[in-house]
Amino acid sequence: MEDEARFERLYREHAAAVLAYTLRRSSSPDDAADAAAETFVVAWRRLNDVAEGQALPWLYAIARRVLSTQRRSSRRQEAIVARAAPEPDQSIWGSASTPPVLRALAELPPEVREPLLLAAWEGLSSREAAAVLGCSPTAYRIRLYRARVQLRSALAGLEAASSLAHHAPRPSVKENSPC
Amino acid sequence: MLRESPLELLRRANPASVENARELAVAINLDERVGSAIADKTSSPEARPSWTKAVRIPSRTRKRGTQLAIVLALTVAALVSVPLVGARILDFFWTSGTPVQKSELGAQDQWLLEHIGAGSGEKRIEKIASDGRRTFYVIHGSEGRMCLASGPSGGRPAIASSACGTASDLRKALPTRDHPLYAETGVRADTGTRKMTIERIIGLAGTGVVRVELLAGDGHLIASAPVTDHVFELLGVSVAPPVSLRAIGEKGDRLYNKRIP
Repeated sequence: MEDEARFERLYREHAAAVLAYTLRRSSSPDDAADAAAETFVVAWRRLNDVAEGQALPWLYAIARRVLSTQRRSSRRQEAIVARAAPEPDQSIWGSASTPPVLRALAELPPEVREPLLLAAWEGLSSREAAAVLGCSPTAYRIRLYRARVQLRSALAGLEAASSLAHHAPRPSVKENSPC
Repeated sequence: MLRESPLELLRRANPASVENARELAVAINLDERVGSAIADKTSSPEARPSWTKAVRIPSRTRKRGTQLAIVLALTVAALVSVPLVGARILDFFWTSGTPVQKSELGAQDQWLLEHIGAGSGEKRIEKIASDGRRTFYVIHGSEGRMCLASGPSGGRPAIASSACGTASDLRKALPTRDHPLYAETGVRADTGTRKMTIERIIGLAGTGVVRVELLAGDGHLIASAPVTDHVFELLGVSVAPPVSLRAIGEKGDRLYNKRIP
């Protein structure tokens, strides 16, 4: 009985935030809804793992893995049907008609984007964002600082309308790896 | 030289607020999706005694204390179609629809249109059929993408469900002379027994189809609905699959069978 009450509270308090998180990182509302639903399935299975006061970062961490799996699965499916060309990146922050800052963001690798997005779009503190990424707050702050430098650099490149893409050095970090 | 911090620029470019998501969650029945996903993917009730009650939580928003989750399943690809021998040739019903201006749509529909899986470029929306209660739309996207959407006529939001894919795949799902029925099936999953029940079938019928009948697995007639402007609605049914849809012509002739497994 206690589990149901906890899950109900978790869902009611955070469903919209989790859907917003998946929406900002998915190519369609359908994909985002599927990812949000899957996130709560995992949350239900692992209800005992959630720490008091850390529910939202914990849900974001699950959603992040769900989205990563979804993307891998999608890529595999595309490979199976042997499409002639890969689908263009249709995510809302990566399309061609988006503002310069989002176009600059799209140039960054996922492991660089995520610290920025957690701060700017999810509004998480360093401690909360670090919990999502599975690293220490100090490591997160370093990662965020580097990401800001790279974003600023990419933006400057766009603003200068240079024909040469301006890429800042990228850290050798893999997606989902601790920072 | 950049005057604003990149983080501030990013904050202002946030493509989806929590409020957007809250509205979308209602429009796409997130509660029911979560309930269905839990019903489909968690361990058995025996393994987790509180499972059934947990699934019930999302569906409380429907004001019924039910432990059933309803999921609107687009059964485009899953349906097995069996044309009847001697069926007469049917025409395509859709050549071009009525254009819908974006200004006619509410903010939520416009937002959805921007983020629906129809490519990132400009989208064009056409109303292709309506019986006055349910309206179907085709959304022409970019990069060869297309969506088939429907919703309550005159409703806000207008788009309640959608299926997106490549234009060539979506066109195949629409009624053609060989396969004159397209159906969206509303399925209820009993989380206790894990049995599926079809609650409603809404769809499109090709030219020449005046009535659609719903038949049980043993062939007996369960329900029947007229076709108005190519739209049919079989509501309030409660039957376990497999069932079949039968297209009936003007003279009462049986034109086509579509099996729903």
